[in-house]
Amino acid sequence: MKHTKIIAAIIIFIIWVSCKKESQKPEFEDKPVIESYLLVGSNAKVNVKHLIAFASDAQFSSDDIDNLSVTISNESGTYSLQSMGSGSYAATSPSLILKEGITYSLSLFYNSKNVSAVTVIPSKPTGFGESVSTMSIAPRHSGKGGGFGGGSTNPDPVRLTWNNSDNSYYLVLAEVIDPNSKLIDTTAGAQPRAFKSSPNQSNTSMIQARQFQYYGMHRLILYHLNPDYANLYGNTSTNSTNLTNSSTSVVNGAGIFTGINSDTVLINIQRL
Amino acid sequence: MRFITILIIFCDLFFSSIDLFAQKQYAFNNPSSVCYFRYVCYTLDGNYNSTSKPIVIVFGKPTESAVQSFESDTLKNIPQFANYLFIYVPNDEGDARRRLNCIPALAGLFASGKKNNNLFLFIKDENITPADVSKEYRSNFKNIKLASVNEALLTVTNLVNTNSITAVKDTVKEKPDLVSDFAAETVVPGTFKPNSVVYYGPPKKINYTLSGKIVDLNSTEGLPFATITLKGKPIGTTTNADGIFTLVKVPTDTSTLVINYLGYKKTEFKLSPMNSRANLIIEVEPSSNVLEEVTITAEQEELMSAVSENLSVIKMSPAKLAQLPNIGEKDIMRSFQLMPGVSASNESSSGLYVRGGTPDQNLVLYDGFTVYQVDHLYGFYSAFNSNAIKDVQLYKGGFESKFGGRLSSVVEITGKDGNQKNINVGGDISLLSANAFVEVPIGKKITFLAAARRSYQGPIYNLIFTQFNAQKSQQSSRGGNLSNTVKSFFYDLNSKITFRPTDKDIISLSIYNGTDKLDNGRSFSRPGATGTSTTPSFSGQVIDLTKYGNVGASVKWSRKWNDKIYGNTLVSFSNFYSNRDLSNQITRVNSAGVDQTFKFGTIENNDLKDYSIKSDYTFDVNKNNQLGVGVYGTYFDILYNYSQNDTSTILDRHNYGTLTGAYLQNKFKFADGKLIFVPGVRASYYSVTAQNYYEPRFAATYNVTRRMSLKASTGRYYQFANQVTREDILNGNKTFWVLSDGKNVPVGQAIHYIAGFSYDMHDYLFSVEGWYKDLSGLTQHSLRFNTSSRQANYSENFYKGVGYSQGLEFLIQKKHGKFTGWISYTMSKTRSKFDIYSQNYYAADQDVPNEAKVVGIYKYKRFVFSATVIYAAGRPYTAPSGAYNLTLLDGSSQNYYTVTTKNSLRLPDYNRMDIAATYLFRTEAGADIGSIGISVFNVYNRKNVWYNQYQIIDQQIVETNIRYLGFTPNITLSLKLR
Repeated sequence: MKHTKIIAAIIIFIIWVSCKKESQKPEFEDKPVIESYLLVGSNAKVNVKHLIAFASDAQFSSDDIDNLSVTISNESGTYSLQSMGSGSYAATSPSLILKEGITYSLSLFYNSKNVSAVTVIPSKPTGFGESVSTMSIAPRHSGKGGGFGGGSTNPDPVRLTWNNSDNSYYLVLAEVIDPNSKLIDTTAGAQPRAFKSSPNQSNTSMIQARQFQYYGMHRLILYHLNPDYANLYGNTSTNSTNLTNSSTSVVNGAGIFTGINSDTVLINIQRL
Repeated sequence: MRFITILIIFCDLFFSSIDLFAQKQYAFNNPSSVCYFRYVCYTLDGNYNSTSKPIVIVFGKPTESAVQSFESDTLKNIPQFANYLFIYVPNDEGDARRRLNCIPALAGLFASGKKNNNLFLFIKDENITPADVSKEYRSNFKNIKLASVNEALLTVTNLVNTNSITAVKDTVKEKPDLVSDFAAETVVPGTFKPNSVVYYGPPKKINYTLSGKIVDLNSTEGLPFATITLKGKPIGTTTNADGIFTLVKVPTDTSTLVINYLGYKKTEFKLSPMNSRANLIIEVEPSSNVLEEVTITAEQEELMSAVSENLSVIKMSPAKLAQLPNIGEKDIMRSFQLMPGVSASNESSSGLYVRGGTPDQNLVLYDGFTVYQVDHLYGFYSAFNSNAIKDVQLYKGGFESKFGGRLSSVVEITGKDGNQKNINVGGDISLLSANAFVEVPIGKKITFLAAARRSYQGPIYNLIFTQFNAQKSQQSSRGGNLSNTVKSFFYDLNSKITFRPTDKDIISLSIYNGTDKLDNGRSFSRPGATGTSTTPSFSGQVIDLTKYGNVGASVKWSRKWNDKIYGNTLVSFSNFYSNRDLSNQITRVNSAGVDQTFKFGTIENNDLKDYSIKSDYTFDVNKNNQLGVGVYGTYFDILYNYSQNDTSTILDRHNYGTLTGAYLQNKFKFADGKLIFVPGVRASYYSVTAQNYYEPRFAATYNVTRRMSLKASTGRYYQFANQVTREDILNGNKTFWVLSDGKNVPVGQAIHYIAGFSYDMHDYLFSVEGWYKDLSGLTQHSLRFNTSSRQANYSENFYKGVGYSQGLEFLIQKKHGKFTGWISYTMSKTRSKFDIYSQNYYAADQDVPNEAKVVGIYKYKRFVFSATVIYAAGRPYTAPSGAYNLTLLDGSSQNYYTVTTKNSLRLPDYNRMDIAATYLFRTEAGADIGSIGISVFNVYNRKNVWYNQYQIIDQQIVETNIRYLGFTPNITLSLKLR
């Protein structure tokens, strides 16, 4: 028993010395959140937002997000953006009409750090086409127990195709143009006026009839994306086992600053 | 004295009434032996060991004392007997004839393996007649005199030289015929095997090689890794995977072997010249009283030098697992988690986190083939059915050259062969699963075993499923008016056929299949718009199906070439597959009236195939040298396919490569086995990198005393196949295996340094081990730069890192008695460094700085009560420091996070207590034929945190604790024929 007591004493001592409390306070660093999609043919716009802090006692910078010096530069010069309020900035110079293939750099100063990001406007999609330009769909009545589907016949899906020899990222967005369009399923409540696919490196996409919620003319927009936008779709984890910083190309900041190009086709959804 | 069975218990010299004669008392055998007795020696010159002077053994009569007998002896008056050794064997208890049968064995101590012509026997008990004294007695003695016979048989005429037995003429004409004269005798009491032959004569062979097999008494299955030692000697060995052993330089063929095997009665087997020296079968009996043997042995076994050579090895007795509390299934891997150095705080993984290692760094071998996936039901249960398992060992580090391909540890599982004597059937049913097995002997040479287990959607299954899917259902917006019927289950099948064509050969085929099917799908249909048709014009399914598992098979040929060479060759196949189908499938009638089926969603498929061949040989060169050599080769074929809809394949990886090599190791023993060195090297060629990899290993043991030993080991370890976890809490984590390519995925490397000390206080075992493990070439897969949640270019998402782990483990075990159990404590520090997370070392995900476990088992008649308490420091985690919201191109918005330094925070400490009570069903003969057990998991309903979930509500980050299982009772009924 003498041995046992000695061993027990050793173990208790070791447990005592090894139980060291670690800090349980999440650190917070105030960084600006950038949201800027550079669309070909438009003026550059940049939104600057505050982070939401986890800690209630987080210390924020005293910098005013409506009073920052935000600039965008390209190969021909550097241009200041004008504050529009609520953290929104817009280019006023006609020299900053965004063009395909041009590299743009964002710069601003926040919380004593230079915040920057760089992007390039991708090329316009080529070879974008659809298998049908008109689709006839019977009204749906899901709210009356009908479930999915429409009449005794269903239209074939719309198949969209484009060229993608370099494995770029593309995304298809479908949205109804006419604000007064009628719902296909009259028993359902309000439905989103647009729906999209996830970014992928494919050269084809298919839209099923049941994905359309409205009758009328729809825009099918094919976006040619940079990888940093596609990355936004991969950062949806919300649990502590695999939480990481969300992907961003903004140095000393967060969010997105990316160039986008697109092409559009139309499809008319008719009542059967 | 040089004889093995004599223990001096009392030493007291005094002068008797006979001038100058001295007396000494000895004990023959130990108290548990049927031939245990004390005897007294008288000698004039104080030399009790001489075999060259006349020795007179007197078997006394009950009414006479030793001194009286000696004083009345007149032989000492004869000149030739003046300096004789007078040995008095008392006849004061028990059966005189039984005692008399032990006399030749006693005589053997003075005979040096052959007849001593100076050896005389005088039987003073008048009830003993010449009929009681067989010829064999006479062959041991120069002459015998019986008090019951008037004629004095004792003559001294031939005794011409009292100093030399060689000068004495041998008057015995016949050679002794031991087999016929010493009939087998069944000895009921004591520790001898009931059916063993007890030999009382002198040894016939010395310093010889003995080989044989340790088998189960009931089924005659060979018992792997049983320890065999020579009683009282630091000579020992362990059986191999087939239960076969070889002992070199056994001192005599009357020595006693001590056999220890977990879950079986400690057995002593007294050798005799009648035993086979090349194929000795020793049967050991399963312990019906589980606590005598305890369910664990750590590094040090009492008197087991062979076992004490192995550092960091833990054994489990699968048959005894039912005694421990459980959450629905007795589980080998869960039980290992109660050991020091193995983390117990991760309820959602059956994989072992050994000394800071991760489950994929742990090699799991089942009958020789590698099992790549050990989880059932989200990891709450392991893939192994304990009814089909005979033996399991965990090597926590520093493992020998025979094993390779993993950085951390090895679990070696040996399946049951099946009962060789009788058909046996049995099964268990619990609130989680039903389990059945059958064992069938086919003729004398073939045995067959099959075991199957399947979960059903009982209360526990539903509890876990609900727990796991709680978050998912919160997130799911689908469903609408569709009913959601979960059809999920797991099952596993084990079967084994063993064929023993000769005494030297064993051929076995082992097959395993374990599958999990998690089906959360829904189906729907509706008739045509008119409602008049009964034929659906539109039907479909929401498919949410995950199916994963293992299929493995091995064919093993083992052969004992001779007493010194044993080898086995194994050909195996192992397949891990994981299919994930999260999609909608719609069948409809198109405008042309033709059925069309569309599928859109994601489909993920991982398929690993491992084709292996290996051959292992051991050569018992001599008593102090055992050589082990082997060759191996594995062909890996790994497919990973990820597609969207049924049209576009996003990722289609197909890796393959071969790993070939050989190993060599030698066990050197010095100083009569006190010091043992095991140097070894493993050399591999890996085709993918086209490089050679050398893994030197070294282990040393110093047995300071019989109970105390110091051990150390070191070695380099490589890992070529890595498991990547694509964490997906909402839909269950998906793991897939990738091959190292030396570029994106480097070959992992670890160097172990381990030292240990153990002290066995008979009833208690104390051991402490310290380790340092240096890791490099680690790979992680991060979602950080994933391009899409539904699309990933995995080759771009592997990141290289380094790490280390260090720690101390303590174990105190109470091994015997009504109350048994152990306390283990592990203090460790595990750090990783991946540049994508941090430039500095940070606490690895599996880092648990302190972990203590207490296991107590108490038996009362046929009841066994047990309790386990686990305390573990909280695991590290990463929390958001901030969050933001972005509006995407379609106008929808999505939340994003900035996070704290990697793993800078810790979850609350984990603790839990489980209890169980088991009632054993036992036959009148004492055999266990089943049990009924009640078990309560997490008895005080501790709300242990599994992970934290974050949401942004009203511009605030809200943290929610997702918890592990709370209070969960279970009841298990187990029955078997025998």
